[in-house]
Amino acid sequence: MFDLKKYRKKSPWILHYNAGSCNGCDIEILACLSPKYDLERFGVINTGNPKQSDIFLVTGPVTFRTRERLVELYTQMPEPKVVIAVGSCACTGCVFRDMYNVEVGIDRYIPVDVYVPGCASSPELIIDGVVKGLEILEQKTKEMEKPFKLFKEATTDDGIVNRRHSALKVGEDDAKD
Amino acid sequence: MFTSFIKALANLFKKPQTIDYPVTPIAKDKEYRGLIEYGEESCIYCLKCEHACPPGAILFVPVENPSTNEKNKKGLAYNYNPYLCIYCGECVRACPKPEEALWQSNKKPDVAVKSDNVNSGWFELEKQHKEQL
Amino acid sequence: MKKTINIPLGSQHISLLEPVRFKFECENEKIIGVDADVGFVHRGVEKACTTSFKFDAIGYVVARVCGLCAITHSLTYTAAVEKLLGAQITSKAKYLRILLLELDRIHSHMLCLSHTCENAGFEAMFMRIMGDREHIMEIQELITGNRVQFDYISIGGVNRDLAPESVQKIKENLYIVKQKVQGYMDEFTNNWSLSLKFKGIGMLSLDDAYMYNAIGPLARASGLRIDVRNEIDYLPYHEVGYKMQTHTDGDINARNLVRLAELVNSIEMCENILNGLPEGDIFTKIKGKPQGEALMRFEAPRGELMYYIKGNGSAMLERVRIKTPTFSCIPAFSHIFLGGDYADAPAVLASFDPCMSCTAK
Repeated sequence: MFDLKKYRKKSPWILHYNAGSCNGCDIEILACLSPKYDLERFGVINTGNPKQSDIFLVTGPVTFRTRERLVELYTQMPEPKVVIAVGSCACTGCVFRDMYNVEVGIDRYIPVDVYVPGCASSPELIIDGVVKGLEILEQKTKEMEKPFKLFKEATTDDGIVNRRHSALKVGEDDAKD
Repeated sequence: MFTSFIKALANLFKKPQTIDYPVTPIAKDKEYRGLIEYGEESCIYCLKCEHACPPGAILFVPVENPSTNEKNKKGLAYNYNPYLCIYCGECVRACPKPEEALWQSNKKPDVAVKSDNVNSGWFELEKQHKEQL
Repeated sequence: MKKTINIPLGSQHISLLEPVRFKFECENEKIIGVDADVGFVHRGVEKACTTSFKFDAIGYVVARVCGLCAITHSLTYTAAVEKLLGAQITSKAKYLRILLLELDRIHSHMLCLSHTCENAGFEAMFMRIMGDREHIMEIQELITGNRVQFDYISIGGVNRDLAPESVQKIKENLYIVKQKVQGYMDEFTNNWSLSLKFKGIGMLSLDDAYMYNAIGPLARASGLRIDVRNEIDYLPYHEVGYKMQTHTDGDINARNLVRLAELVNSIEMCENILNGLPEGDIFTKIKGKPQGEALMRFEAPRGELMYYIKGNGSAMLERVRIKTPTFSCIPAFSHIFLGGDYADAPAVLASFDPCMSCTAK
């Protein structure tokens, strides 16, 4: 009756972080939540709390001082989660590619799922990106629920049972040979 | 309190301000600055667009089996990255044949996923481009 | 035993659009000390302008320093280079440049007003103002091709012309926005719950504004009469009907009223330009390389913006120096917070209209 899998894709909550951008893409994200292009029809609320959100929207090329905060926010979000890089600066670094205080794009630090181009990207492309992110979130939820074993079969060495290497890493296949 | 009641009743019959985007598509203006498109037969390989682009989104890189255009003396091929482009139109203004070889349409770029290798694939091309200089 | 505690308004907060960190030293909820930390957004633009980019492509790089005052940065740089090359541009290009500067000022002030209301807890007003702002974004997309980051100005003039069919649509949208702004002025002065949050909070007196060197709408709301548009004669501002707006109180309410009055004045200036636009070319070709020094000032939506460039006859410049308006106001910010409550700090910060990506280039 209370099925969390079905309700998770009906109301994803958003966390937004500006990792050194020029504010153009942030104004367009704020305009997405305004009455003309309404993101709140999909059930989206802009919270400021990483423990309560599913989707991470990042803008801007990563500067050296913001990269620690970016990684900390990413690790504090619970699974399953989706990372969306908004704007050309977040995908590849745009005009800031050779400057001395800038890393080249976000995916040097955290794994990114959806790339949205444009300078500054328009609200229609951001809505396309969020819809695609919701499909990936549904796929990740299904994969998380698959059962997996925790222990291998115990091996025998001259009749003595050896249980030392019986723990499997998570996701590793059990090699039966 | 009475005026707010009348206003609420009038709002019930007005058209909503929202455009429900993925269901009804939005028509773009003819002069909107969108993707850059390339016509290979009319290009004369002068490389002016590569020098004029501020972030360096157009690169000409040598390949093994180039096209059969007679102006292509060094065996180069055209590469364009829509995730680095800033859509300013400087390359179209610098091209000597702006309608046949390089022009700016009003289409929107696509959204990419992780397996498209948008950032790491471009580092290889930059290394090849630097070696041939 | 220590009587004071340190509370940060940190680099990630739901009311902040940009990363900035303030450390408040509080005694029982009253703020007695402020420590500001800007510099999270420093990217190194000034050094890259002298090593990686040629002087005719820098106009596009410098526009990406800030997204809200993008066209003012681009225009100031281009005007300084034209002064060095000794170029003359046509009067139609000058009027089109003023038109876009004033449109940029209108949408930036509307964003600041709605953000102030959201931080005071009044979310319905935030949605209303953002919904009406979409009319202005449609006009910008019609003229230049993109909603934010216009890429409209290059050395010698402007890039695109204004078609006669679009002039009618622009005038209709401007008329609709003007009607709504009269409604906002009514709401901001007469609403009782907003007055508890805005009147008497975040005061800056006239002597303090003069001593701490405040510029922009922050100084004009305290009674100080400074504005760059009054002092330059490079663009014809006095012919299109410009008037300076001031107020005397100096609290958050006065800053909101000054911004609303500037909005109405900008809309009137745009209508005057559209009615009397002259004929002519929009672009003249300019040759040569820059040599010497030049200095140029313009009025961004937040204050006075200044550029200094130095060239030595080659395609790469030797030095580019940018002075942004929010950087000059930081001492005034730190003075205003003292003596107030900690719970008022996000609303006071949003009423300054800070632009941190301009500050730390």
